[in-house]
Amino acid sequence: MNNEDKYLKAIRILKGHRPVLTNKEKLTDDIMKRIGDSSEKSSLLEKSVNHLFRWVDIYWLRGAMAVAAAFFAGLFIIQQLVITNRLNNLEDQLVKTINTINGHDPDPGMMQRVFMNMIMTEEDSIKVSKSDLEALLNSYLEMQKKYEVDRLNIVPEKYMRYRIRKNPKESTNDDES
Amino acid sequence: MNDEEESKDIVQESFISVWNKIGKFNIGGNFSNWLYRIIVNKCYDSLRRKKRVTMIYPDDNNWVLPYLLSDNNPETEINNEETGKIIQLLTNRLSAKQKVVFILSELEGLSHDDISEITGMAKTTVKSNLNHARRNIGKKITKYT
Repeated sequence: MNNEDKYLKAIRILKGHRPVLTNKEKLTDDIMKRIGDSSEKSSLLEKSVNHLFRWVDIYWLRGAMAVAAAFFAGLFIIQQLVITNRLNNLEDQLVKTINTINGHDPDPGMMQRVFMNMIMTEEDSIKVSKSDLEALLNSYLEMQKKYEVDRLNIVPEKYMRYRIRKNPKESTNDDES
Repeated sequence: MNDEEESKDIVQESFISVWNKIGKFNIGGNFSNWLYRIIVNKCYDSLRRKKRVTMIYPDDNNWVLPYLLSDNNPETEINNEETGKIIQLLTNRLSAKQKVVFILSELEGLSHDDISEITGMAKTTVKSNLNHARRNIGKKITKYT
C-alpha cells in the first residue's frame, strides 16, 4: 500500500467513523438553560431601557424636548457670536493701546486714560479737569507733530553741511550748475 | 480542538449564538454554511484563548495509525477516543487555518466554494492550505506506518 492509498484509507476510515455524541440530553439541556438565561438577561436589559426612555412615547413631551434642544442650540450659537465679537473688540482695543504706547497713530481717548493712570496713584492723587487734560493732550500732540516736522527739516540740513565739509568744490559746482 | 469538554462548550456557545443571531440570518442564504461559520469562529476564539496558556502537541498516540492502516485489519472499528486521537495526531502540526480547511474539505466533504464562504478565505488560499495540509499529513502517515 503506497502513501496515497494509506492517506485515502485514513480519510475514509475517519469519515466513516463520525464521533458519536455521548450524553446528548445533557448537552441539549445545558444549551436550553443557557439560552433561557441569556434571553432573561436581555429581557431585563430591554425592560430597563424601556423604563428609562418611556418618556419618548409621550408626544407633547417629545415635542417640548425637541423645542428645548433647538432653543439651546440657538442660544449656544448666539453666545458664540457674542463672545467672538467681544474678543474682536478687545483685540482692537489692544492694538490701539499698543499703538498709543509706541507713539504711532495715538488715540486721544486712550492717551487720556494712559495719562490718568500715569499721574494718579492711590497714595498721591490729584484732580485734573477733563478740559485741562484735553488741552494738555492737544498741546502734547501738537508739540509732537512739530517735533516730527523739525526733525525732518534738520536732517537734510545736517547732510548738506557734511557734504560741503567733505568736498567743497563739488558743492560749489553743484551750486553753479 | 483536542479537548472533548472544550468542544462541548463550543457547541453550546455556537447554539446560543445561533439563537441570538437568527434574526440576522439571510433567509436566501445557506443555513449550513452559516452554522459552520459560527462554529469555526468560536473555534478560532477558543484557540486564541488557548494560545495564551500553552500549546501542547502530544505525540504519544502514534500507535493508533499503524493499527488503523494495517492491511490485515480492513474492518477497523474505532471509537470516539481513537478517532479524536488520530485526527489529533494527523493535524497537530498544522496551523489553525490548515486544520479548518482540512476538516471541512476532507472530513466534512464541503466544496472549496463553501469553505471559502465559511472561512472568509479566497479560493486560492483554501486550495493552498489544503495542499499544505495534505502534504503534511502524508508525511505523518509515512512516518508512523
